[in-house]
Amino acid sequence: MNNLLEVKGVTKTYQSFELQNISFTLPRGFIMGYVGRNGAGKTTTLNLITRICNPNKGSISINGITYEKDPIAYKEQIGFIGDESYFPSDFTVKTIRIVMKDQYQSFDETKFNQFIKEWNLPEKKKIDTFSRGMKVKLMFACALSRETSLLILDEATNGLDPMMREEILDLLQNYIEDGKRSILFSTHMLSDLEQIADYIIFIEDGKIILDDSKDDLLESYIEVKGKKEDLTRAIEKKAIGLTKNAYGFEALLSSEDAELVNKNFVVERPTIDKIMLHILKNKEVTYYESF
Amino acid sequence: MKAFKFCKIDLLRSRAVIALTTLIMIVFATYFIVDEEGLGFVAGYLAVITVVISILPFNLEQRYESGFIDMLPGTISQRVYGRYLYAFLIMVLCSLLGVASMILFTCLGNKVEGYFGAIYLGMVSIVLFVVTIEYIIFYAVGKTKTQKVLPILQIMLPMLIFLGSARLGEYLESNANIDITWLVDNKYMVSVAAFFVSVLIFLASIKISTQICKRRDYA
Repeated sequence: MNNLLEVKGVTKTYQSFELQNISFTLPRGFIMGYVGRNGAGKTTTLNLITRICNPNKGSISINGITYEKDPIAYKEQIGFIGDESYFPSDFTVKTIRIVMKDQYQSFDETKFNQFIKEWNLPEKKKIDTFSRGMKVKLMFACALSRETSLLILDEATNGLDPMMREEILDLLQNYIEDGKRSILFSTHMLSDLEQIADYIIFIEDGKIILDDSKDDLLESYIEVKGKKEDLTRAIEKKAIGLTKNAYGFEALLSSEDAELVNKNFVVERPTIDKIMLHILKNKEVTYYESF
Repeated sequence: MKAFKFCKIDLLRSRAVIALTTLIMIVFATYFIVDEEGLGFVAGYLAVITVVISILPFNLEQRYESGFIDMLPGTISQRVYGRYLYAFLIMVLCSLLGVASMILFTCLGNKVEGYFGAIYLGMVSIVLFVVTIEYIIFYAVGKTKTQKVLPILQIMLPMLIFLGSARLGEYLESNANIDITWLVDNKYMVSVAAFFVSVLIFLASIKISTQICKRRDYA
């Protein structure tokens, strides 16, 4: 079994939002970026995988274990880092250590203490007095000091300084190094994904509109820039996204349409950021599903 | 065993309040207990703080904590059992404080009236019943709405039940058609029966709360 995480036909219905028939797999030893705009369904998906919420339909398994089959083994495998600190605000590092030691069989206290020392986290201060960076570090210390196979990050790098983000990206690379563990990373910082992700999923209005490897995704598109007068009807017709301004235009094309490009244009490899922006602006979802 | 671990989390969270109320209790008891009427005040204080401390975990928990608390490896049943175990321990602690007050009261040369035991057990039954009802309501409304209903429940429910009991007593006394002499004559049996009924309701509510949580998100 090569897939560590398998999500099959998962649906969750709320009064004003529905996550519709979500299916994807995450192989062992890889990082998957889960992206979409606010309210697209990213956190809902993660809440369903962590079983903070219950799906209406579908199944989710980690290493072949479903929550229904063995809820304890299922949760033991997950390390979760949220977009905000999830620790009770009146807890201290000391209290967290007591809880972790009590609850997780695989909790390695020595490893935890090393992280606390290395990151200079105060033992006796209440967590609500910690800075955002310290809270994130504590969440990582908890997740990395036990044996997990899936690390789930929900906007974990948002609001962190570049040094700290870099440090975390290194941690993530180390986490998957043994080829047995994987990471599902939901973020708006697409530059982070550009650096470390192997797979990308785009979600919009509760539906997956794109699921591909990062390399294939980046190779599937070209970004064309040119003067306003050079913009042809063919490019306009085929463009996945098109931005015009007083000086020129910028279009995202499928690599298959590269023949439309002439020597007057500047052709570049688009960033994930650009691809996502064009796709979301254009909304031509069916076009993307076909490649 | 897992339920104990979840109970420990609630105890860790409430320990400051538990320590403070116990301290107040000691000061309160020493001040009032010299008085003949004092034991009644102490029992009343204990009844109120038992309810307040028992529901403290619902008061303290926030939805954002789901990423930590709800991610801990355990089943929904274990988590609910843990919370009820916490309530049980608080009730045992407060009952013991009550018994200690009674011992102190007699040691100071006062006499505990014979009916006081029955009244005390009756109060324990009412407290148990109040806590049970509040727990079911908190689990039914869920974490997100608990903070909204908590202030109302915290005051209203115990008040309604204690005032209701007092009014019922008055009604029974003033209504000549109802013979309460049997109740008075058998006060010990009645209070023991009330206690057992409350325990049964408490146990049944664990099952109900577990079923509610299994269907709920952010349970």
